Amino acid sequence: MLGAVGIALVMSFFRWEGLTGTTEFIGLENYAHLLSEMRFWVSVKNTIIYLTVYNVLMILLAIGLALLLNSPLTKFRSFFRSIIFLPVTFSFVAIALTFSIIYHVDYGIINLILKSLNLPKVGWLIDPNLALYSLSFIRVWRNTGYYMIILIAGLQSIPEELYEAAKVDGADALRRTLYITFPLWRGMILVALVMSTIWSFQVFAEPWIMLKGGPADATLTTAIYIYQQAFGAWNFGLAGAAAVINAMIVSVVSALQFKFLRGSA
Amino acid sequence: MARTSIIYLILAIISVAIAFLPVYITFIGSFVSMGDLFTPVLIKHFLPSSLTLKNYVQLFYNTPYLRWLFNSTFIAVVYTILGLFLCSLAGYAFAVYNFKGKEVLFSILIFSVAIPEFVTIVPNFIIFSRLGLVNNYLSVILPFVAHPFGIFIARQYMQQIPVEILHSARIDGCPEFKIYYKIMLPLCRPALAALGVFLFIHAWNLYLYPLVLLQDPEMFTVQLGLAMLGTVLEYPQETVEYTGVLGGVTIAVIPIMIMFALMQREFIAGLTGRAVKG
Repeated sequence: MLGAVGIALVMSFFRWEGLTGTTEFIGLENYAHLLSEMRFWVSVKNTIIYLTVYNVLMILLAIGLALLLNSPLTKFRSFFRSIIFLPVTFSFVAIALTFSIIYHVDYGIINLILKSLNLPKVGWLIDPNLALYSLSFIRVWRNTGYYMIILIAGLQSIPEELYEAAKVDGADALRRTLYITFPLWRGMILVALVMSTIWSFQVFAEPWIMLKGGPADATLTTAIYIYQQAFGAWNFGLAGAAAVINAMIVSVVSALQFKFLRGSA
Repeated sequence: MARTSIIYLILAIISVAIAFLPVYITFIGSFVSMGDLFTPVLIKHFLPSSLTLKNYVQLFYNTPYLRWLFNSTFIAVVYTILGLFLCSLAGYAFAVYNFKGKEVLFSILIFSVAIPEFVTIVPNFIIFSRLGLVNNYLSVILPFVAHPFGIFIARQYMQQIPVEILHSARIDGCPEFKIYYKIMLPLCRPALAALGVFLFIHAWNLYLYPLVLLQDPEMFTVQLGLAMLGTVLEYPQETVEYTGVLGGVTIAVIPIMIMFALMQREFIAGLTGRAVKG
């Protein structure tokens, strides 16, 4: 794995045209080219919007559901948990194919329901201003259950005695949640968030299968950009440079998350 | 009282209307005709007027779906077995032995979890092309087989095993590999079960790597084949309708559902409590 990273780094300093084309050392030219190319920046911007929307929505939902479905006051907990976990069994290819029809502008169930309520139809996938968000939502749909389960396990590792002691001291439910649950839970939430950020940064299957990065590059993600540079244009050097820049962005983003969440509260 | 009913309402909406509905549409959509898939009847009452197996017949007769199923199963099984062996062996080394540079190596390992697929795909494509392994199962299995996450889980679990057991075996003259194989592995069965599920699902759901490295339609995995069938542009539409594609999705999803249902407990314990505590 690390060898492959080394090769990617080396590649990025060469004009490297496919398997049989020329390879020639050109220094930082690939990087210079990328930094001045609009499409590259569009892909970075799209990926960051996508992962911000997805991660924020997903983690808030997962936290809420974990609190609800870990509370002994809630009945049918395991039933709800299983249903919410169900989408995790779908691969990204599977959700791309399923949501292609659910989001369909004329036949999709969402627009049919809107129509029966006499509301105008929405171009979930064909509106360039909306397509990226539509894609974020389907990953929220798929992954919330997974992180909810992880967070529930985190809740269950908090010792019961702490809550008992707080109750004796007269702390109400809200305070117990704020001052016992969250401080002890934060580490787990942090791990979940960093994991989901790293994984969502690589988003490829859904935008590629559903929209090929369109409409008008609205769902062009960095993974699609690199894929197109490497296996569409056979420009391995440029793909390598784009991969290196994006790998650096991932590291910076996860480092910032660590810092931010460790520092706060 | 009012508050609890609101909570149940929210839970019911999230779980049934949001989480369950798309799954239901996929499953039921694979048993109806193309016309019925989009009828208001299905939308209003969520019950189709008639069910048919035509889509599955179409899927198996007109596409190499069976072959794709075999490819995916083969890749996932070999990957799981090899992965379990390598991850547990590496985890054993990290958990039991003290060697120079162990901490550094382990940090590198943790860091490499964060390396995205799109960084390694081009270099690996070059390597496997040079080796003549494009369109070979190995090209999809080998890059992930010593999965850093797997090594991490194996190490976390093995660290909890008391060293005394290993020491006493050593005093009895048991060779090192036999200690790993005969003592450590059986003790780690719950963690290995969880890891096995994780590895199998990872291999089953791979997409980018097969897309690049398996180019012959005969070598496609289920995911790759379905993606091709679902993308109308790339495949003649007459061979299989979208309802047939939904049938393919249903078949691809069911093994994973069964696996989660059977291994729920081990999976959750293996991937959360034990993995993160340490």
